Amino acid sequence: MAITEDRPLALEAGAVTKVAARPLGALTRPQSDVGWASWFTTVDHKKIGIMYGVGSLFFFLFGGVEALMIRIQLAAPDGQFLSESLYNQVFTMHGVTMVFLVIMPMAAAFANYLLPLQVGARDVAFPRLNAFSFWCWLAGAIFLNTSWFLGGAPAGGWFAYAPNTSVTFAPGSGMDFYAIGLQIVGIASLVSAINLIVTVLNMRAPGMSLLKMPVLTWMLLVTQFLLLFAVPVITIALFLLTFDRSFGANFFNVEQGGSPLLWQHLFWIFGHPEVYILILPAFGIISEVIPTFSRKPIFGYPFMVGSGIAIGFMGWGVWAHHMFVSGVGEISVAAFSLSTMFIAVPTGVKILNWLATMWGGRLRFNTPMLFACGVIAMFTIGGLSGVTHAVAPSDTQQTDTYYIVAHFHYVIFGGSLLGMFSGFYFWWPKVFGYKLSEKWGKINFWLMLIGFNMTFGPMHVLGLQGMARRHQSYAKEDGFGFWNGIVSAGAFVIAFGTLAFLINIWLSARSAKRNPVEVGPDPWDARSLEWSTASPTPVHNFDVEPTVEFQDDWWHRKWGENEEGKIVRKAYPADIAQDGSATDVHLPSPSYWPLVLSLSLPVIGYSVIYTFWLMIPAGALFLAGFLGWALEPADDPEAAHGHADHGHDDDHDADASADAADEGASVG
Amino acid sequence: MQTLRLMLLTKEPPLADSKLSEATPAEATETVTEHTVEHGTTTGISNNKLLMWAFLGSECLLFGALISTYLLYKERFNDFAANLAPFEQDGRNIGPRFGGEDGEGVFDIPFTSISSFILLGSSLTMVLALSAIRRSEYRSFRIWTLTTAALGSVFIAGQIYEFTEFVEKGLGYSTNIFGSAFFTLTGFHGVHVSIGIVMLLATYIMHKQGRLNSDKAETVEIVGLYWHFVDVVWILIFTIVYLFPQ
Amino acid sequence: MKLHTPQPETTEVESSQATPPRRFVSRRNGLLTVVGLSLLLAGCGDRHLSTMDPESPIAEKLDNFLVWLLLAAGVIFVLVQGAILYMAKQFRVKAPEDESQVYPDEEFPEQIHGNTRLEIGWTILPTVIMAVIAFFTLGLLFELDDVSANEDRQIQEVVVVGQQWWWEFQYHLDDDGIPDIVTANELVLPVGEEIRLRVTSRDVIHSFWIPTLNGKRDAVPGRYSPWTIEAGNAGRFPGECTEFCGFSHAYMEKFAVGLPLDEWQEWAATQQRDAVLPTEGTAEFAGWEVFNNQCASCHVINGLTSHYEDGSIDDFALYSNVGVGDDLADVLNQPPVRYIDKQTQVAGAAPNLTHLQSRSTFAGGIFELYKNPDAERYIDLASEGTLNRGALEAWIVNAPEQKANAWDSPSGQRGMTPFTALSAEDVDNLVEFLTNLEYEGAE
Repeated sequence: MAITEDRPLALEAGAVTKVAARPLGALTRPQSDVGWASWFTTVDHKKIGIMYGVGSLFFFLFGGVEALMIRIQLAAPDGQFLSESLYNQVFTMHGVTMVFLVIMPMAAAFANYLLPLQVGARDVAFPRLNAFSFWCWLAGAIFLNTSWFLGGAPAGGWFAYAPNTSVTFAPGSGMDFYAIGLQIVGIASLVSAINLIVTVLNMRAPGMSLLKMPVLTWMLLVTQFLLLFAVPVITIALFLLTFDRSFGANFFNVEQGGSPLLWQHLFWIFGHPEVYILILPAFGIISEVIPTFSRKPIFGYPFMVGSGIAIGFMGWGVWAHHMFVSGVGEISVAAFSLSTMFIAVPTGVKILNWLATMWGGRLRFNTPMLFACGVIAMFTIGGLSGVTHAVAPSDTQQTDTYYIVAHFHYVIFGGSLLGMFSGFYFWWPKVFGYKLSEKWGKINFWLMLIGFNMTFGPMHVLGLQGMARRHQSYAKEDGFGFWNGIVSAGAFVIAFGTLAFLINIWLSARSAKRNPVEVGPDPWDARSLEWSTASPTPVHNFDVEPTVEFQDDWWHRKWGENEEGKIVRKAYPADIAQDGSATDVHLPSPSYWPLVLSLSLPVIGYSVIYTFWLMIPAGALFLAGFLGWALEPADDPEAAHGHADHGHDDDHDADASADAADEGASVG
Repeated sequence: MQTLRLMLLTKEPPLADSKLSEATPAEATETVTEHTVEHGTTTGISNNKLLMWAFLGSECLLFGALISTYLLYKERFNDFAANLAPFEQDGRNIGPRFGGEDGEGVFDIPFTSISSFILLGSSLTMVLALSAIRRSEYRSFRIWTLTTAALGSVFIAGQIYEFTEFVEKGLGYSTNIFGSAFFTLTGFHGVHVSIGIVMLLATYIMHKQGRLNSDKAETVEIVGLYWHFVDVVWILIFTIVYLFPQ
Repeated sequence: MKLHTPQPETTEVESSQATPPRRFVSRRNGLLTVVGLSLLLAGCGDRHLSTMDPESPIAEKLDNFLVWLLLAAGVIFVLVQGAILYMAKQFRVKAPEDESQVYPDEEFPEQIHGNTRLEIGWTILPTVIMAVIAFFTLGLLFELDDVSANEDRQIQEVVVVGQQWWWEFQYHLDDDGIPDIVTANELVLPVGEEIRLRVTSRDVIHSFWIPTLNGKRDAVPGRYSPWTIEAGNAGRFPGECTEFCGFSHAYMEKFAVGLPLDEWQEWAATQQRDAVLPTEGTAEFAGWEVFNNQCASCHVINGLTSHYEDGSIDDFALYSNVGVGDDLADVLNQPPVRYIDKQTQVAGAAPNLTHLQSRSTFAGGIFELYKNPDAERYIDLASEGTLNRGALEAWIVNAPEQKANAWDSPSGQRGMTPFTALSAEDVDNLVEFLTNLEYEGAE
């Protein structure tokens, strides 16, 4: 796959490059883009996307084990498996892990890998910032999980309601890890959001107007905007919490007149858009999968896009439905009850459009399509139960019971996660050059679907029977034993489904190695630009930048209409796809500095928790990373550059003008 | 305008038209390459500038959350302080209303007005610096950049002085919710100004090294965007915190 | 807003029950019962926790509303899932022989890009459905919010104070702002009266919930959140804490106990009596001495632990240490409600034990005090009950072992201290003292 570039080691003479060549006199700029070491210095959006995917799957197993521990504890009345303290840590970390370390980075994996390809770009706008986002996320994720070995993980719930998180009520350092860890992960999300927004808005192939972008691109763009505006709010909330815990501020100190509800408002102003941040990428993915496997264009493209944007906007006006029982006043409750109901409308429009896309199509149920149908079916259930607690009075009976647990798992597992799995199967050949096994894919799908419904279906009943959330155990007389047994069994079925996915990867990779099958650029007869280049994607994405005339432009290159209005083939993918053979493509160069800079953040975190002496190494790392980054040009200046006007600095490859000052602002 | 045009280019052509576009990949290549050279970015705004705009959008929410917190806590604090019995006060009621030399609150409005004015003035010098580098008047660019950074530093010095004064009057960070909210809000803004000063000095150094000239005036423009944003935020904070303390 | 017509039979049942002022009978119609019961299938516990088994008019309104919502949701559910299954059967194509190709070339369905009319239609349709639901929701919301002004109310209001990990109930029987009854974990109510609650907390956020009587309301420190509750029937209705509050979040129960009016009045009269000192030389008196040395720094017994040196009673002591949860404005306006700082916020808040023997549970409602739980005992103090002595003694000796707490937390005690140093005799005497207290004015 690799297009090895012939990059000169010696740099051109001149003031600029003299400064840049050896920024700290110690490290030469990494050159190679192959080999294991290259993964640490890569700025290639595809490699970063793959790393996001691997990272999120790793934490998916982690969060899954936490879920299984919870289910073992609750499988029967009076569970003895986990102590109260450990149980609280496990369910807190399960939530935090699944939201911040699984679904979000998994969506980031698709966003990183696919956004530049779908808009026909060579890379993201700021490749080094992109690498920084990934390392920053990983640093935050590892930082958060080191708390297990440093006196206990956070135990205040992923929602961390004040004042249960204050030093008085959570004296250990768990909540510090929570606050600072999420802060670091938040920086990653924010930087990544800005980067991808600029990429989509600024780096589209010629001819690709906004309304010719694939639906996935649109949904990811909306997601990035939600992140852009939601992350600063949680940033402030987490800062206030850290200031309270570490510097004696009074924000959540009731004794001094602090307000616990302030935390709830800030958290949910972030938290509800966050729900759409989790679900919209999956909506985008299945909006690519369903047309492909129905052999029809997406039904009502402008409405699909419009409803996605509408969800993005309305998502800001519903946060207080998490607070219907907090005592926010009847008028607020009524207003948020109404706004929550009406957000169901654009969601419903989406579901109907997917169904209409499938209607009359020629449906082929390959694994991606199975998962996509699973999303429609399961998300619908989550949406319907969502309406029952948009009804505020009714919600007073449901909130903080297992009914809610059922609801949001139907949305986040049944919607987001199944959608991501659909995406894995769909784009696997594009990323790795071989398809995953259909046989194991189907086993994976059915185990997951059945296990999922066994696990979360009965929770509706348990919730209505009065089983409250976050209880470490329940009594025999409560009568929750029967359904909880089924729920716990279902959790293990999901675990086997996940295992089937891993087995599938292993077997498919092995068989692809033993007898490679050429999957070709476009194995599914798909519609968007990423399928117009070789599989696996060449390092430079496109030999030539594509021009776009139509929405679903790639499909229109393959198919046309004859005089009778019948669809006829114009060309075979293998004949018109780019073969990735170009060798003189100028690409952004790898860099150490994003990694170095991101490593300073957890050290700062430990410093806040333990001792300020750690600020010395943290500061050194930060300065090294920051200065190294600032003084190194985004690219090696290189003769192989495609065009002559080198001085024009708003080149699409994000030239050296991505300088210290600007990038500093977004990381500092 | 170019952005708008591109955004409006959205109408889906009829399917039959696809027959017309039977250009071979090779032909397509040529047109593409030319196209790319013509337009750097789709919107016509450079990536760096768009990055700054997006970042400032995010900053709006950051300061929005901080200012909301401050407003809420100012109200709560006023209730709290008004209801403290004398024996419970113990300095905890120090805030906008009480605690000054004549019991009139901690704020020194004339002092802060002057430092606010200085910060506002720096926006003007920022504009002058940008226009200088655009016209390749490098000497005046250097002067105005340094002046802007200096005015910003004066503002920060004023803030540090003000903070010390407050602490001397008895209002520390942990004293009460007003102290926490006030220092957090103004402190966040101070950190932003300080980062802006670093950015200004960085442009100055880059210019000295010969890496920044009129071709790259946009870098200065981007720093200027940030600087103006921080100034505007201060106008908001000054109004909310100092002019309407009750 | 009528969602269903009441069944005529129910009035019969109502009239046959003469004693309670307004006996509540669930008036579900047939269809709804079927739906409800099928959901409850296989898993109805002995304990009365289900939201689908209402014991008060409010809970029944909520339940009925939900059942209608679920029916409507069920229709949409069937349509969507049906559509998917139908299409999977109808439009499915066989996989082509050649694995490398997804479809044979010529097979294309009609390429439909959309249909604006249809789109507008299915934007309007869910909007209308939602508008209908919204209409009824607002109706229900404001109906529930409107607590009828009942002039003959027995209870002006009850202040509900959540804390780690038990509940305190302060009854205001009159308007003087001073609680008349302070009890723990059991909210004893006259049947058929809508009671106004104000829910607050002394430490972290808890949530007050009796699922068979009404939805929940968070107990937020620093706020009083208004809420209402009504026991439709006599009986004991349990409820869990539903806002995560730390270690023993799962072990923080409370009960609403519905008593017929006359019995409730008797209960209320008893609860207002102070205790008298046991006769010297008895086991009870020895128990009192243990109590005074070990327990009285946290627990209050009205009439015994609250005397000043001159013999007058300290009103403050009645409320242990109400305070942190109070509205700041109320702090100074209502003298008995004191503002207490951090040390007391986390240490010393302990249940008032004056009428422990009249309760059915202890330790945050998780252990039965008597082996034969029975609502009757609320009137006839301990007469019938066989004390659950082993559990009570185990609790006294080592509470943290029975229920996780944070008594030794470096940031302040939360939960009961273990008293492992107490001799078996001391513990015996203490139990005798607590469960055989006599009260002023009793015959």
